[in-house]
Amino acid sequence: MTQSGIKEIQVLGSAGKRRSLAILGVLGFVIVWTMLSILNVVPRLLLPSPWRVILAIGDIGFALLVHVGATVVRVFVGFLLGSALGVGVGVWMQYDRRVFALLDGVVDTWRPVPPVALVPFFILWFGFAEVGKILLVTLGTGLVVTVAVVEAMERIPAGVVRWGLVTGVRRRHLFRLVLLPAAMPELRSGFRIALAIAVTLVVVSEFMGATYGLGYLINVSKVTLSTATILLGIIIIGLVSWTLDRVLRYGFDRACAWDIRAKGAIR
Amino acid sequence: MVKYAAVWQSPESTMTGAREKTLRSESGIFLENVGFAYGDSKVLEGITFYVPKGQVWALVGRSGSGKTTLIHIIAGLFRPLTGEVGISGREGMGPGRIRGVVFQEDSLLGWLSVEENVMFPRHRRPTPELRRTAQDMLTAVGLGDSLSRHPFELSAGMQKRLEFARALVGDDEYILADEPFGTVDALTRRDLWRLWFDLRSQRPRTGILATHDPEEAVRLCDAVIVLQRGAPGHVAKVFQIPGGVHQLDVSREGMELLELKEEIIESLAE
Repeated sequence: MTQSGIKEIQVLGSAGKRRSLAILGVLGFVIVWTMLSILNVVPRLLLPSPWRVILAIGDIGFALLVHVGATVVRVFVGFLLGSALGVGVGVWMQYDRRVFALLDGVVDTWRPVPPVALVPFFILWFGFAEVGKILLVTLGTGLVVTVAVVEAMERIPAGVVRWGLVTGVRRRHLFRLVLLPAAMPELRSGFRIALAIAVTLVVVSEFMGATYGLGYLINVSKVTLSTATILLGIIIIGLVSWTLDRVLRYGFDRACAWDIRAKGAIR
Repeated sequence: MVKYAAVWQSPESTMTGAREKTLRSESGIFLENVGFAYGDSKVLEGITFYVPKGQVWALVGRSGSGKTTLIHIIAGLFRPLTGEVGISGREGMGPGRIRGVVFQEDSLLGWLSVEENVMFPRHRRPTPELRRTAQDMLTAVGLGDSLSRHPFELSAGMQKRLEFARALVGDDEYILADEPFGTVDALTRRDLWRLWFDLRSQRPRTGILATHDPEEAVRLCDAVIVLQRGAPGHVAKVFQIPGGVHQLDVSREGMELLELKEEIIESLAE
C-alpha cells in the first residue's frame, strides 16, 4: 500500500482550532459583506445587506421552497443520469478497446466545449420542457464522469487486476468485483467536478426558460432590480451545492475508507 | 487495462496425438520450448523444463532475465509466443488454471478485509465451509487474529502471509511465487521460510519460486533453474539439490549446499 505522505508536511494546529477557524472563515465573509453594505462603501442597491437578504425570504414566502425544490430535483436527476451514463460508457470503453477507438475522439473534442454553449440548441429542440434541461445536465456530467472512469481504470495497479484474473473471475464480473472498487478512490474528484457542473447547468437552463427554480428566480428579479432576491438565490445555490457535495463526499469517504486510511490523509 | 487486451484465447493445439498423450499422462508443470516477446524485443527463448508433481523448483536469475514474465506465462496471464505450457497434463487454458500465485507487485484487494481477501471472489456470499477453510488457512499463516482488519493495517511481513494464505486456500496444489521474500527484513524472511515449509508439509505442493537469491533457492527448493539474462533469456543450467524434497528444513546446511550456491552464482555471472 502506498502512502501519500502529504500529512508529513502539513501544519496541523489542534482539531478545536481548525473547527473555530472554519466558522471564522464564513463569519468573516459575512462581516466584510455587512460592512461594505452598511458603511455604504458600495451603494445599497448594488449590494444589499445580509439583513435585506433575510427579509427577502419573507417576501417570497412559500414559493421559495418550490424554487429550491425544483432546482434540487433537476440537479439530482440530471447528475444521477449523467453519472450512470458516464460509468456505463467509461467502463465499456475500457472493456472493449474498439468502443474506445470509436468514442475517444468524440468525447475528447466535446469535453472542452462548455455545455452551456449548447443551451440555444436545447431550447430549439425541446423548448422549455423539462426533458431538455435534464438532458443538458446528463450530457454535461456524463462527459466528465466518462473521462474520470476511463482515467481511473488506467491507474489500477497491474497486480490487482492480475490477481482477479488468476482467481478465475470472468472478465465481465471482473469489472464489478475488482476494477470498479479499485478505481473508486480515483473517481472522487471527477464526481465532485461533475456535481458542480450539474448545478451550473441547471441554473443556466433555468435562466433560459423555466417557471420555477433558483435560476428562474434570479432571472425575474433582474427585471425588477430586486438585488436582495438575486443575492438570496445565489446564496441558496451555494448552500445547495455545498450540501450535495457534502453528501457525495460522505458517500465516497464511506466507500473508500480503506484508501483514505491507507494514505493517512487528514479529513 | 490496455495491457490485458491480449488475455488468453485458447490456442489451437498444434501437438500431435502421441505427444498430447504423454502430456496428459504427466502431472506437474511442463514447459516445452517456450518463448516470449514484448513487441519486438524477445525476452525468453527455448525455455524447456519439467517440474514433477510434489516438487518446487527455484527460478534463479538476475533482474531482467525474464523470471516474472515466465511466472505470468505459467499462470496463464500471458500467452507464450512459441511453445507449450502444460499443467497437470493439460495444456492451453487461460488465467485461472493456477490460483496459487504470489505476485511480486502489490496485489492485495485493499477494500476487502483480510478474511474477504482469502474468500475472494466468493466473499459476498461465502458458504460456512468456505469461511471455515479461510479461517483455518489464516490461522495457519498466523493471521487468525486479524480476520476483519484491512491490508493497509498489516505490516509488510503480514501482507506476504496474507498473500500466501489466499493463494493456497483452495485445493490447488500448485504454487507460483515471484520474489515473495524480497521485500521483507532478514528475520521476517526466516519466519516466512518456515511458513513456506509448513505450507508444503501440510500438503504436497508443486510449483516454482522465482528469486534472485541463490541461498533461498538452495534452501527452499528441490532443484534450481538458472535463467540466463541476455537477448533473449534462456535456461543456462538446472541443478538438482541433493536430498531434495526429502530434506525440507530451513536449517539445511552443509558443504554440498554451499558449493552448489557458489556454482549457481558462477553460472549467473557467466
